Amino acid sequence: MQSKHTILINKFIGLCQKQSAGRKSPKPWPNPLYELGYRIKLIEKEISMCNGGLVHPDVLATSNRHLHILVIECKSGNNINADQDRRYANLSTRDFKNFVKMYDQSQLKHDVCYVDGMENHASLEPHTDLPFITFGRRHIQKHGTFKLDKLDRKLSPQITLDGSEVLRSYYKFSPFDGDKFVVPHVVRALMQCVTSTSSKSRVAVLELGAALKITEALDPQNIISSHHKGQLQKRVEHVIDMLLQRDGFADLVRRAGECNPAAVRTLWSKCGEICSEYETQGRLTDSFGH
Amino acid sequence: MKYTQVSSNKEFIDALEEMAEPPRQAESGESAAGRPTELKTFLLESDRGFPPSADLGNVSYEVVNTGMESMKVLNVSDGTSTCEFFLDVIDKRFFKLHTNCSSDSARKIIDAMVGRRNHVLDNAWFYRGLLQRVAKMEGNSLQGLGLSYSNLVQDHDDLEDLDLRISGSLAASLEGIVQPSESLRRASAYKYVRIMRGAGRPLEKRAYDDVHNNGYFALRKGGSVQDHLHVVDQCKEEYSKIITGIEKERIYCKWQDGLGELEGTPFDFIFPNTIKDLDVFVDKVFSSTRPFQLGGLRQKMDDGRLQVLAVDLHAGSSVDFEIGHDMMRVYLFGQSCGNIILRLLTNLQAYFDADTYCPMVDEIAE
Repeated sequence: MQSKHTILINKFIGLCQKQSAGRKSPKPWPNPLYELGYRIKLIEKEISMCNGGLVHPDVLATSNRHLHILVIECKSGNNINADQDRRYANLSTRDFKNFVKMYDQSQLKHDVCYVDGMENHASLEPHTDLPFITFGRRHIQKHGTFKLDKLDRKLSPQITLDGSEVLRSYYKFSPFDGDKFVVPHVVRALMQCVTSTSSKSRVAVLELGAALKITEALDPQNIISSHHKGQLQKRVEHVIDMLLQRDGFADLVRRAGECNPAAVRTLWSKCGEICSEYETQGRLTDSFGH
Repeated sequence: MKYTQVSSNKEFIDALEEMAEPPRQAESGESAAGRPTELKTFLLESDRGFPPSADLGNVSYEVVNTGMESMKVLNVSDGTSTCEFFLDVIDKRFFKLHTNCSSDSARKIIDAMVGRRNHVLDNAWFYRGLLQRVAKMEGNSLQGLGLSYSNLVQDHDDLEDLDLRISGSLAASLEGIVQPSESLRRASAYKYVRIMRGAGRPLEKRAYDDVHNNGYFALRKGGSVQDHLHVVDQCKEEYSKIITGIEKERIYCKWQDGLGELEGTPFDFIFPNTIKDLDVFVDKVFSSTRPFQLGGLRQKMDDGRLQVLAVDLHAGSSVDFEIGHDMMRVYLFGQSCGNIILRLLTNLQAYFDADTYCPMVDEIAE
C-alpha cells in the first residue's frame, strides 16, 4: 500500500535506473533517462535558494554526461500552488552549487519538471509553464518543452508501457505519508528486530531504544535523510506505543523474540491483521498528515 | 590420526583419504546400518563468519583448532552420538565441512545448523542452470542425474510430482528427452548431478561426486579426494561469483558530500506457467519455515498484484516483493544477503515450477 505520491516518485525513479532484470526481462520498465546518464541523487530534500526562497522537490536527478540537473515535483492531486510554481520557475543553477558537483560546474544547466498522472493532468497543465512527464496506463507522455534539447527529444515520442509493471519499492514511503502507508513498514521492521539473529536487537524491541532500532531498520536502502529520520522516529514511537497497548501483543512479541517458531508465525499473522485494520478501518488517526 | 592433530595440507588430504575409504565393519563382513559412510562435503554460507559454538536444541557443537590456521574441527553432539567435521575457514563467507559420518546423521546435523531462524548459516543453493554449467566444466563428465519435483507451493492440476534418478553417461541425453515435453520439463528440477572426474584413470584414481542442489557433495565412487575437492571448489567459485554479482545489484543510496546516489535494481523471477492463486503462493512461500525461510506481510496493490514486505530469516534483513501471476519482483537492500535469490530460485524450481528463471541471475552467471 503506497500513497499516489510515492507511486509517482517510484515511477520516475524507474526511468533513471538500470533495467529491472537485464535485457531478457519480458516486462522491463522503460529507462530513457538512465540511457541519457541520469542518476537519482536526492529524494525529498529541501533546497535553500540564493534569493532566500525555499523549494522542496521530490527528486533530483543529474546527468554528468550532459552536465544537467533535473528537478522533479510529483503531483498526485489536482492543484499547483502558484507560489511554489513561481519559486520553481525562479530556481537558478547556482542554487545547486552546494549539492551537485560535476566535472565542469560552469556549464551546469537545469530543468524543473512536474511528474503527474494522465487522470489529473488536464487540471494541472493550465497553471504552469513548466514541462510535465505524465504517466498513463499505457504510455508516458511529455508535455511542454525542456531546456535541454537532448532530453526534450528523448522524451518527445510517446513511451509505451504495455506490459511493464510499475516498480514500487525503490522508495517505500515518504516520512510525510499517512499512518496507513507507514504502519506496515514499521510493523515489518518490528518483525525484523524480533526475528533478528542478534539477541541484543531482540531484547531491545520491548525496551528503551526500540524505536531507534526500528527506525534504522525502516530504511535499509539508506535513502532517508538524517533530518527526516528524526521525524520518522517520533512516528515510530507513536506506532509502537499503540501496538503495545493491544491485548497480548507485548507478550506475543516477547515469546517470538525467544525463538519460538509458533509465536513468530502467530505474530506475523497478528501483524497482518493490524495492517489490514489501519488500511480498511483507519482505526488510528493520522497525526502526521502529508 | 586425530583430526585436531592435522598440521599441514598433506595431513589434511591424508585424513580425507581415510574418510573416503570403505567403512571397516563393511570390510570385515559385518552389515552396516543405513546409508554408506562415504566422504561428504557441505558448503554453507554465512556473511557474519562461522559461529564458534551453538546449542541448537538437540544438537550442539564446538569449533576446535587444528595445527592449520585455515582448518578447524567441528565436534557435534546430538545427545546420543558425536560426529566430527573438518571445517575449512579459508574463505570467510563460504565454509566447507568434510566428514564421513553417515549421511543421515550428517544431514540431520547440517539441517539443525541452518534451520534455526536465529542462526546465521544457510545452505548454498544450486539451481538448475548452475548444476548444468558445473557438469560441463573442464574435466567434468555428467554420469548421473537426479530430478525431483514436489508440488508444494501451489496445486497445479496439470503437474505431478516427479522423482527420477539415472546413472551413467546416458544422463547427458536425458535433457534432450525432457525438453520437448512441457510437463516433464516443468517437473525437471535438478536434485543432484553426478560428476565424474579422472576419465581414463583406474577407478580408485577417479571421483564420482553427487552434487546436490543444497550444497551437499557426496563422493559415491572412486577414491580421488583431490578431484572431489576440485568439484567442490568449482561449485563454490561459481556460487560465490553469482552471489557477489547479486549483491552488487542491491538497492542502496551511497552518500558523498551530502549527495546520495541511488544504485541497484530489483530481480525479476519469471513464471512461464502462471501462478493461479497469488494468496496460496504467498501463504506457502512466506510461511517462516524452510526451505524459503521468509516471513512477510502481504498487501494488495491497485493493479491486482501483491506486495509482500518480508524478512529473510537467515540474514534477518528486509526484502520487498511484488508478485503478479507471471512475474515476481524481488528488491534486495543494503544489508540483504544475496543467498536469498538463489534460495528462492532453487526452491521455486523444486516446489513450484522447474521452468522458473531469473534473467538477472542468468546474466550474472554468463
